[in-house]
Amino acid sequence: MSLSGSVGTDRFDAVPDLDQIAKYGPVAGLVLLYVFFSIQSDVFLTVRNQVNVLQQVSVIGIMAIGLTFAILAAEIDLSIAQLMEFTGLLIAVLAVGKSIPLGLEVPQLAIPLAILVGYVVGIGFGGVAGFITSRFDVPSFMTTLAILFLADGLGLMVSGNRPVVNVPEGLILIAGGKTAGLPNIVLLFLALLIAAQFFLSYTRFGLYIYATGGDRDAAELTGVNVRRVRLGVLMISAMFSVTAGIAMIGRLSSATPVMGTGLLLPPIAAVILGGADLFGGRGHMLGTLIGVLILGVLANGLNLMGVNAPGQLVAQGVVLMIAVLANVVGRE
Amino acid sequence: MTEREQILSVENVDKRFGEVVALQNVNLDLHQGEILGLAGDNGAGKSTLIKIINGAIQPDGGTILFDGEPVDLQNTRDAKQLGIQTTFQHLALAPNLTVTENIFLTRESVTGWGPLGFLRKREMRNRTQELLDQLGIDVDPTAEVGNLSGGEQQLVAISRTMLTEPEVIIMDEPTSALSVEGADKVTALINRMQDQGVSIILISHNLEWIHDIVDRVVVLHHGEVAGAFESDEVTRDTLVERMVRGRPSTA
Repeated sequence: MSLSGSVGTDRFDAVPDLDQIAKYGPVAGLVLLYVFFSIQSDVFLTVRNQVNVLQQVSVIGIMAIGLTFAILAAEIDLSIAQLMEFTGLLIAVLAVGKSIPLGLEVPQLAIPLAILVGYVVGIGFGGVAGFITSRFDVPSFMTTLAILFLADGLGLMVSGNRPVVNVPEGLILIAGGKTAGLPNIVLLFLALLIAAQFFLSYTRFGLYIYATGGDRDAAELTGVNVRRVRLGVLMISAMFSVTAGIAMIGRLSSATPVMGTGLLLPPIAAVILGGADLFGGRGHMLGTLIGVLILGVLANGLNLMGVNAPGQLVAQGVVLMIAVLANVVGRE
Repeated sequence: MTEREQILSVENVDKRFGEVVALQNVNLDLHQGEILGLAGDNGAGKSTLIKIINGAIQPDGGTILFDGEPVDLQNTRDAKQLGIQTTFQHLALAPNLTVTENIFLTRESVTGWGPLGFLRKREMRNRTQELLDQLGIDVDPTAEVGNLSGGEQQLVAISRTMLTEPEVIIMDEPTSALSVEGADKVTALINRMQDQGVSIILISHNLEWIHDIVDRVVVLHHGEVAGAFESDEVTRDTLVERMVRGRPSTA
């Protein structure tokens, strides 16, 4: 007797349309936006404008990559924007060397050393949130919210609530320069995106992230070190926040204590727009790229059409609502 | 039944949880290639006994012998290293992963070290196909487990235990949540595994099924062995009576 059976067809047969919407909705949405704005504006589809879109979304995109790791493992990181801001300020302050209001005279460090300190501190914060989440089973929603406030306050402290200017050229050029005619920030974003998906698809830890997000109890029973995964994804997310901080310095040629304001929700929106499951286990970096582009293209296209900021926010809200609906319906 | 080599023995095992006696002086033998049923009502001690055999908990007294040698199972890893695998009522499958990924989860074939180990996907897929063919299971190794029927998921969960060529497999309620068709497939798989020389301990509430499939059955009642029978020499009524009332009083 062969132990046969139909494989993987029932669910698709039952709800083919909804499943297809969940799978291809983000791509279809992006294509529709491209078609619409191409008709509305002659400038929209030019190479220059498209590079501009990529440049504008890169910081959000880098944070969204890190956040994708957390969401895939059924966690969330609410500290990304403030951690980006704080570590960006810290790296800038260390690279410049200045007195800070804590009464400390910060010595000027070599750029690589300043960056190293930024990563150690940033990943350390991710580690603290991850440790509390994984060891005591405190939702990452709460632990990263605490880090959000902590990082916000520390950012104000190290900067004295003032922009850090006169940042060394070498630090600015990491993300602010160009290579082969393309902005470094865009190249950095795309390279990190590819590396992140490779890590998820082809490494043992990547598989454990998907397993933990899919069914934490099952992963644990099978022998996956779920604590390590929960700790790891929050540290990875923090690492990308630090990278986004460096990218932000490149974009602004400085670091400011408000550079993270309003940047928490767009990466979350991008990951969800890209089709990642809100409850973990499903999603990929290509989806995150699409989600980031949907946000960027929407803002850019509406700008070109002369729609003001409030109108853009309304449009983003509508698109996100549709995406979340598709996400949940597709899951069911 | 012809006399077969003894692979696992539980001798005079006791286990208490505080004041509660979970197991008392329990003895049990499992032979090479044998299917042994473990029957008993809720709270009879079945789960405690299998947790002791698979190393999840340690007995307060008594001995476990494997291949005739006493063994000290401190955790489930110790048991797995000896060749004792367990499938649980909760299948412990990740629905978003493929059949191959579930079968190899935590035993991945990788190049490199630790968490950054590079997955050898093709090798794992081929090995999964071989394993499924060997067990006569017609399931696509690349199918997502969440898209499979309950019966197919159970087949995957059981075949996962066969990856490391175990000597003993403990199955906790393998058919409890399945349709008749699904249960038939699982039964066929269990028979096939027995043909390949694997020794199996089956725990089930379904006495009719247990009676039909096992070589011998041990009945537990209030933490004690209430009887051990060759399945073709005992009626279901006797099993029910032992489950409910325990061993008949000799007084």
